[in-house]
Amino acid sequence: MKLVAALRAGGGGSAEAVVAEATGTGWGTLKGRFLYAGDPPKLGFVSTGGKDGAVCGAQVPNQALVVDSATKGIANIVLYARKAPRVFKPEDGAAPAAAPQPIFDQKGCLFLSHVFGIEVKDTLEVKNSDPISHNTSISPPGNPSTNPLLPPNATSTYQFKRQLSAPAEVTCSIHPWMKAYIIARDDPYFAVTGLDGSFEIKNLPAGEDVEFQVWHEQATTGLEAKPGWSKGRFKVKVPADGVEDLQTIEVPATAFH
Amino acid sequence: MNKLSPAGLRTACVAAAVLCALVLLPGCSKTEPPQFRLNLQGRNPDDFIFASGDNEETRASKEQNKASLDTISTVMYAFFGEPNDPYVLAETGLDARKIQMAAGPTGGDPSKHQRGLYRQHCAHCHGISGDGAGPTSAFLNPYPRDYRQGQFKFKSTERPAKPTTDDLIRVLKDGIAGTAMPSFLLLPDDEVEALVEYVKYLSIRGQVEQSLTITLLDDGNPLDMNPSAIIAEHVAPIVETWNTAESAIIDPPDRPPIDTPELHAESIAKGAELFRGQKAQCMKCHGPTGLGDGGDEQLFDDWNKVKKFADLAKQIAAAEDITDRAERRTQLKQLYDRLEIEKRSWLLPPQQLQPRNLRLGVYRFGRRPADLFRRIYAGVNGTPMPQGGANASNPSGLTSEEIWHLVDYVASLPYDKVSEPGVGRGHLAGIGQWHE
Ligand code: HEC
Ligand code: HEC
Repeated sequence: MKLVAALRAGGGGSAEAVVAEATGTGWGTLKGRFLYAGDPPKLGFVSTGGKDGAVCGAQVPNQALVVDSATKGIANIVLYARKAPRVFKPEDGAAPAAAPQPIFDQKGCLFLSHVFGIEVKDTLEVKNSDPISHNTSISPPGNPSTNPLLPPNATSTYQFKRQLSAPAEVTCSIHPWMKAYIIARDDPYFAVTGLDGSFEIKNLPAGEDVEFQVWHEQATTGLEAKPGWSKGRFKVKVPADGVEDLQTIEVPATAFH
Repeated sequence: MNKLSPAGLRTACVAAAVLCALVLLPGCSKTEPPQFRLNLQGRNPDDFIFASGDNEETRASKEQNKASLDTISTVMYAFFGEPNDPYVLAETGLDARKIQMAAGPTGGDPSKHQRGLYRQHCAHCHGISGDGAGPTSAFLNPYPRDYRQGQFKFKSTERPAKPTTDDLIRVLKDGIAGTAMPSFLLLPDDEVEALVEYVKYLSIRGQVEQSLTITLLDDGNPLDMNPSAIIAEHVAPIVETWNTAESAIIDPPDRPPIDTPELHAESIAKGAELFRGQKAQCMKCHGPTGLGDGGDEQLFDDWNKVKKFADLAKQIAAAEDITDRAERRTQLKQLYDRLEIEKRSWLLPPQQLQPRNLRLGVYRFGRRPADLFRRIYAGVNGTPMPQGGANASNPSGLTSEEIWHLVDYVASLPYDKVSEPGVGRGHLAGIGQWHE
């Protein structure tokens, strides 16, 4: 009741927030590679029902779980720091080459990035490279909801207002098989694995514990890729000016649903 | 000293409410004064219920979740009070007198002031908490609005903007044609205004709660209990969206002239072409003749698409085809378990949304040309009906002229021959070609 009164009076209740304390200096890199343990699943297809067949074809690849048959690399796994004690600024060292404006494109009735990462401060550009209209529906929790009609070759923009605690769905209401995910974060500490299953995150605060969340479309409560990665979370320390290499992580089939 | 402090009592009530929501204890809370229900929708109820099989780690995480819920309910109580005793935080800019009129139990208070309007007129559909899950809701299609996401469909403003006060008054006075939402035209103006204020209160309350829940439960961050910090981060941005609604009203530009029958017919023809063309794509959902039969896929609005029943049903269908028996069995068991959790984590099962049958001439937010213009320009917020019109963030959308042609075409549909009984679809000249 005292707390309620204090909250209402606007007088400070005790600030119980513990901001992760920055201890180290310097910056380092985290990398690793996710491989599928066992026989990789074959790439499936989803029928388009012949809708806009001339552009979309009869079927499109099912991108829910993409495993490279040659290397067993798992694509589209997302890693992001749950909370960063320090965030790299250009004056902290040689600035990384300016990243190009992130563009989220669609072609052949497929989103070209099935899983896409962006910083909250950046403006998302949604492009349509098809000769037919699409619409792009995004309505993540705590953020504005949008669903613009995107005529051929159009580009629309979207601004996130707050970071997401998990990737949010992007869909096209006209072509319901079109589905992708976007993760928006306050800091640049996120990565999406490529076709060979590898990822790299640079300029992480060195010498301190950073907790990462690992997410996959078929492990939405966290990819338990390794024993001990409960809810798909792990803590790691990267060395200053060095690389912490998680090496190869063999993910058991049971980690996906 | 075994008496519970009011705050402790409050927590106990919340805990009971959580239990009610989660395990549906029969008769629970019948005797308690009504409470706002914590918004745990979409979350796995098991994350909050202690079970005998819990290991140390699970226990710790549940303890943390429980502590987070306590913090959320304390802040919510401090900032918004409870249904019988609402608190109006100055920073919300809400009118406390109006909130008092709408809140509380039905009937006047001892000093004969009007009270309880919301519970008298709205709560059985929209729920005490404004969660759209009142006792009548399960029988309705569409469901009553859940105000807590701060999303509204029928308004005169840009798609992401809030409705204006006048929009909400209009929804209350006109009702929503074609749905269970009744008209409250007979209520005196001050009562309608009080109810509108209360809808805003519930909606702001719901969005603040959502914001706190994201920080505490999803991001796993502690809350800085400094009230001005909480207000700056979790209240002010939401209040701001309500304050800027008026400046987001869509002002339809002058329309191309249709003052002769020829010009009118020409505009309708252009609209018809656009309706079926590659750019506007209206036909893809509303069907070639506007009957609302354009797509065979399931559409959901934002309130329902988060419920993953349909996705799971698809995955279950796929798993049925697995040839290896043991593998099939494990997969199916996993999927059915997840479906079970999904069912327990929502107040109402998902409901599909139909593209409107445009030949009935029944519109949910007005039939005037300006109403239809706004609808096609902004679409229907929170639904698959897209924002058609060009704006700063989507410069290649439909031009105003194109929208006006579509308005003329849509407005002509209820009077078109194909709407008459006995005329089969697709047999009319010029329309047949759109059917396979
Ligand atoms: C019989 C059930 C019922 C009652 C009673 C009822 N509503 Fe509704 N209300 C609905 C339904 C159903 C919808 C959703 C219609 C839709 O989505 O098309 C709705 C929608 C709304 C909306 C949302 C409009 C929008 O733009 O999204 C508001 C605001 C609203 N109601 C306020 C009220 C208020 C205030 C009261 C009491 C004075 C009330 N309703 C009483 C069923 C009801
Ligand atoms: C992706 C599917 C989709 C497309 C494309 C689409 N609509 Fe809709 N439309 C809907 C749905 C769904 C609703 C019902 C929304 C609701 O009430 O929740 C709707 C509702 C409407 C309404 C009724 C509004 C009211 O006041 O009741 C009109 C008019 C309309 N659409 C016109 C159009 C026009 C014109 C186009 C082309 C520019 C179009 N629609 C494109 C799905 C679509």
